[in-house]
Amino acid sequence: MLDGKRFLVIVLLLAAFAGLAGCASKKAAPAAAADPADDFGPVVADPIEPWNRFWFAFNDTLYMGVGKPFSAVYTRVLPKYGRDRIENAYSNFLFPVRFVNAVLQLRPDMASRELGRFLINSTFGLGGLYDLAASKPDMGPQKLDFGQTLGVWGFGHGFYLVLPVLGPSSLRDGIGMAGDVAAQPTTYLNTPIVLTLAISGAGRVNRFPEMIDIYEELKRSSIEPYTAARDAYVQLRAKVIEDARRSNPVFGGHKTSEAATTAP
Amino acid sequence: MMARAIGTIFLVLLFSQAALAAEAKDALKSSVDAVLNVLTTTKAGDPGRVEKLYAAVGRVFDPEELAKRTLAANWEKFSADERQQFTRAFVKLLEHTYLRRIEAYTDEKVVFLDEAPLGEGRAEVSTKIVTSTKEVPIVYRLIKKSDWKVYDVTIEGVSLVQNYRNQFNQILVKESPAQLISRVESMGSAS
Repeated sequence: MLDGKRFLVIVLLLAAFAGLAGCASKKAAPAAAADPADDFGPVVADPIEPWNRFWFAFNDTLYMGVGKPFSAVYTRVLPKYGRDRIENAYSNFLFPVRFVNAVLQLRPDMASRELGRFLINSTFGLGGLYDLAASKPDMGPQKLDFGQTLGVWGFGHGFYLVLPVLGPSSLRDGIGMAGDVAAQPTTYLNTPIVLTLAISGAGRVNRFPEMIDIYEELKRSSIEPYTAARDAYVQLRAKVIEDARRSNPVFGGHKTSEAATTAP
Repeated sequence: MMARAIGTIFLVLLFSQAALAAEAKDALKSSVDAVLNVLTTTKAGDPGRVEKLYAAVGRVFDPEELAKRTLAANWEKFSADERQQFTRAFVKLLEHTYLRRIEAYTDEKVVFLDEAPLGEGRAEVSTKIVTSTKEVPIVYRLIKKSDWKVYDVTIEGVSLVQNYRNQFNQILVKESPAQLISRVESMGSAS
């Protein structure tokens, strides 16, 4: 699994030189609408659409055929209370990832909030099972990932990429995902591979039921699920980056076209 | 705990004083409260529950405005008949989607945040749904007609109208308005 991830990193990094730099400054140009609320919002290039559609269909079969029945059993065996504990512990385990990204985004405030959350939840929250910190104002969970960091630095998506099993992503966010894996404690601490797999596996599987719900909802409410998923992904990421930029004194000054188009 | 509750109430009072013109928020809140009321006083499957929910939601949503906005410039390509058909089909699809979502409602809390003007006759009301492990930001955009009406909902930064607009636009590149309408109709009745 780790080897697979390393391979992914190399492939993505190579692709990065080809695509990312060029696309970073390229402007997404939605047709100017008479009404500002009538534009198409943030867009992403999709040059490998047939490839993406193949994996989208593949993932759909996987989610519906394996993921959904599995989730049904999983949620019956493990009630919400138990799933919440695992989610909290997994999120606590990923603290270094968020911390590193806060630093990379030059956000001492977010970094110290992450550190504070980690210390409180690891001790009084029983190793992260309970998110006690969140009950204090301004100590709730934060969204921080490396794809977001790259976005804050001014990189665009490059192009849309549907990953096998993992789903919607982009060149930039795929690289981000690989970077975040590298920042996971089990990557640099000398832990047995079994433990690494157990933690990541449990954390990801635990998120599965919710993910399946969201995916099914998207499928049932959309006319063109592929476009709906792509658009939802791009809007979601634009928001995550825009939020990080807006509150960032260093990177807030120069908004990318991507961040700007989400403004009302 | 008590002190915080009082603090919260005080803050709420303060904000409602500061924003006397928070009409959009009030309109939205009364509709959301009505929905929550139906949800807590009736059970799934009770007679009249669905109708009551639609009535509570319908008070603040503007389906025509929503339908029109999802088509954006493509609206011009639709004949008067097609516009009506499309609106009807789209409303049905939304009702199904919304009802499913709302039936899945359990113990989440709806928190109303601030209201911000969006130029003339429009406003944005921020809310969040608080679940046991996270918060989901939901932003409503409202337009002032005879009353304040919702014309877009943004969940986690994903605008419903923009999402449909991109889908419809993609379809209309290759297909006729009539074909789009039949697609929307079949989705609305499928679920």
